[in-house]
Amino acid sequence: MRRRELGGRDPLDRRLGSPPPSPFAWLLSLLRTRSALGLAPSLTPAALFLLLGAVAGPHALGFLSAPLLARLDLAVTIALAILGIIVGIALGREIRSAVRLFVAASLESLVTIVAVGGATVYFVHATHVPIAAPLLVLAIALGLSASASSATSADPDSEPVAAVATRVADLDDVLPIVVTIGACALVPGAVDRGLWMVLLAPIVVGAAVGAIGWLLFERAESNAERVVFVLGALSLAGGAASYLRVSPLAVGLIAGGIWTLAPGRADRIVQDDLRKVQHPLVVLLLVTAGAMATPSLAAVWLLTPYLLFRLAGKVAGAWLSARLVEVSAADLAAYLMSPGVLAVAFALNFRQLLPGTAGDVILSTVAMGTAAFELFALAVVPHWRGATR
Amino acid sequence: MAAEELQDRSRRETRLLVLVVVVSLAVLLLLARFRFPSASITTAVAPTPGPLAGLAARAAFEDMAATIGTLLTRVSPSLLVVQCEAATAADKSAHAPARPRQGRGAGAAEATPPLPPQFAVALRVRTDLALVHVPAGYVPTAFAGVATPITVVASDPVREIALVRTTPGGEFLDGWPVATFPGFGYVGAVDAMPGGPTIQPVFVGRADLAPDDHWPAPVLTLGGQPALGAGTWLFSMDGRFVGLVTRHGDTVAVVPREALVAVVAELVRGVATQ
Repeated sequence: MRRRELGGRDPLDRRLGSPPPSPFAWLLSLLRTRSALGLAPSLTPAALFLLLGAVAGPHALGFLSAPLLARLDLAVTIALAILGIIVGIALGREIRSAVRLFVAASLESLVTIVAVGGATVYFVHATHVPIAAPLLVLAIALGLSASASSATSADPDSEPVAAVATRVADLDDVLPIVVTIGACALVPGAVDRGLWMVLLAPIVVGAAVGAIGWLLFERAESNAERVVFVLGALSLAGGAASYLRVSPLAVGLIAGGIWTLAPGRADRIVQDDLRKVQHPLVVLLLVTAGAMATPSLAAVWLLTPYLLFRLAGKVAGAWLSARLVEVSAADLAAYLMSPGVLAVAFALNFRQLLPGTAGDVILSTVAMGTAAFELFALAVVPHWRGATR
Repeated sequence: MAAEELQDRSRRETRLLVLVVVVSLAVLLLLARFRFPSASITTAVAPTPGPLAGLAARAAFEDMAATIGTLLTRVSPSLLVVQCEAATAADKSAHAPARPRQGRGAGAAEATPPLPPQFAVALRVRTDLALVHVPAGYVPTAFAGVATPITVVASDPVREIALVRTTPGGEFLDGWPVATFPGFGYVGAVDAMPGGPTIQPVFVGRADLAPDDHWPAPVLTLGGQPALGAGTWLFSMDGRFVGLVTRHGDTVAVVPREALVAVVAELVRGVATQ
C-alpha cells in the first residue's frame, strides 16, 4: 500500500521500519485501495462481483434464473457497446498525442493474444478437449479476453510508471476489439450471412451511430432531450449489433472514436452522461457474467493454460513495450496483471456469437481467470513489484 | 552508477521473463500429456430451481411454453431442415439393395401416384455432416430455403437414414449431453416445417430397452401410442439428447446416441473404403 492517506505504508514508513500491519489492517487497507464493496466505484473488484453472480446464478441459489439471464442479453449487448464507446473515446484522445504509447499498448496486447491463443490451440489439439466451435475461434476468443488489462491497481498520481500503465491499459483494448471484427467472420454461420456484411457492418453501423450522435447531441434544447438522444444512440449501437450478430464492442469503438475526433463536444457530452451509468453497468456485466458462467470440466481444463500464458504474455508484452514508453518492464507488467471488466466483456461477446456450449466454456474460463488474476494482482503483485526494486 | 543500476534491473527483468516463459511452457507440455476425460463427465451442471420457486404462484402452461421455447433456441444451431422428394427410378436403382419395409413393395410404389415432398430434421453429427431420417421412397434433395442441391455422403435405406454434407457450425452429436430417459415424463419432440424446425412437448409413458436387429445397441421402445413419428428428434426438457424416433415393428422406438454414433461411424467408414 503506497499511500498514507489510504491507510497504507508510504516510503518513509518502509525506511523507518514500521511494524508490519495486522491481517485485519492489511485487509482493511486492501479494501480501501481496491474500493471493494463499491465504496468508491472508480475501481472494479471484479472477483467480488463475479463470485456474487455465480452464487446468485442458476447453478447455485437461482436468484438470477436462466430466463432472466436470457432477458438480460440485450442489456448486456448495450453495455458492451458502451464499453466500446469508452475505449473509442480514450483512443480518440490519445491517438494524436501518444502514437508511441498506442503502439506499445498494441504490441503488449498482441503478444498476449498470440501467447494465449497459441497455447490454447496446442493444448486443445493435444488433449482432445471437446469444444463445439472452430478451434481458431476458441483460441482467438481466449486470447482477446486475456489481452485486456485494467490497471486498477495503478494510482496515476502516485508515480510516473502508474500513469503510463493506466494509459497503456486504456489503449491495449483497441487492437483486440479490431481483431474481434475479423473473428466474427470465423464464427460458424458468418459466411452464410455474407462475409463482407459481417466485416463491414460494425464499421458502417458505428460510423452511422457516430454521425447521428454528432449531429444530435449538441443541438438538444434541454438536458432531458440530450439524455434521450444519448440513450437512443447507445440503444441503436447495441441493438443494431445484436440484430446483425456483429461485435457491439467494435460498433461502440467506431462511434466513440468519431465523437472524439469530430469537431465539437459530442465526446464530452456522452462521457458526462455515461459517468452516471458506467459503474452500475460494470456491476451488471460482472454479475451477469458470473451468473452465466456454467461449471464444466472443459472450462476448468482450459483454465491452466489460460492463466499461465496470460501471465507469460503480459510479462513478455510488457518487456517488449516498456522500451517504447521508457518505464520498468516489471512495474508495467505488474500493473497490467488485472484484467478488469473488458476481459469478461470479450467473453460475453463470444458467448453471444457462438452457438451451443462453446460460448459457455469460454465465458466460464475467462470468468475464473479474471477472478484469479484480480486476486493475484491484489495480493501478489505489490510484493513482486517490491522484490524487483 | 545509475546506468549500472538500470542495466542490473534490466537483467533481472529479462531473467524474470525467461523464468515465466520457461515455467509456462514446461507446465503446458506436462499437461498436454494428459487426455481429456470422457464426455460423460464433461456435461454442464443443470440449473437448480430458484430458492423461492416453491413459494411463487406458477402458471404451468406458461412455464411449459417458456421451457419449450428455450429448448428450441438451445438445440436449433445443431438442426437443419432437409427437403425430401419422391425417389426417381434412377434413385431406386441406386438403392436397389434396400430391403423394402412392410407394405412398401416396389410394385405398390409404381402403382401409386407420386409422393408429395416431405421435410425432415437433420442433426449435425460431425463438423460438416448431418444425419437425417429419410422415409422409404424418398431422397433428400436440398436444405429448406437453399436452392443448391444437397450432397448425400452416404445413405442406409434399411435404417431409413442418410448422411448429408453441411457447412461447419453448431454443436454436433458427440458434444451433446445425453439424457437417460426413464420414461413417464415430457420430452421435446423436434419435427420439420418448411420454415425451420418446430418443437412440441410430448408425454412419453413406459419406455423399455429392447434389442433391434437394425441397430447396434438396444433401442428404447415406447409404450402406448405416443404421438411421435419416425424421424422426430427427442430432447429432454433441460436440453439433453434423448434420441431419434424410428419404426420398430408396429410401433416406434427411440434410437439412443451410442447407436447413432456407431451407425454414423459405420457409414463414414463405408464412404472412406469406397
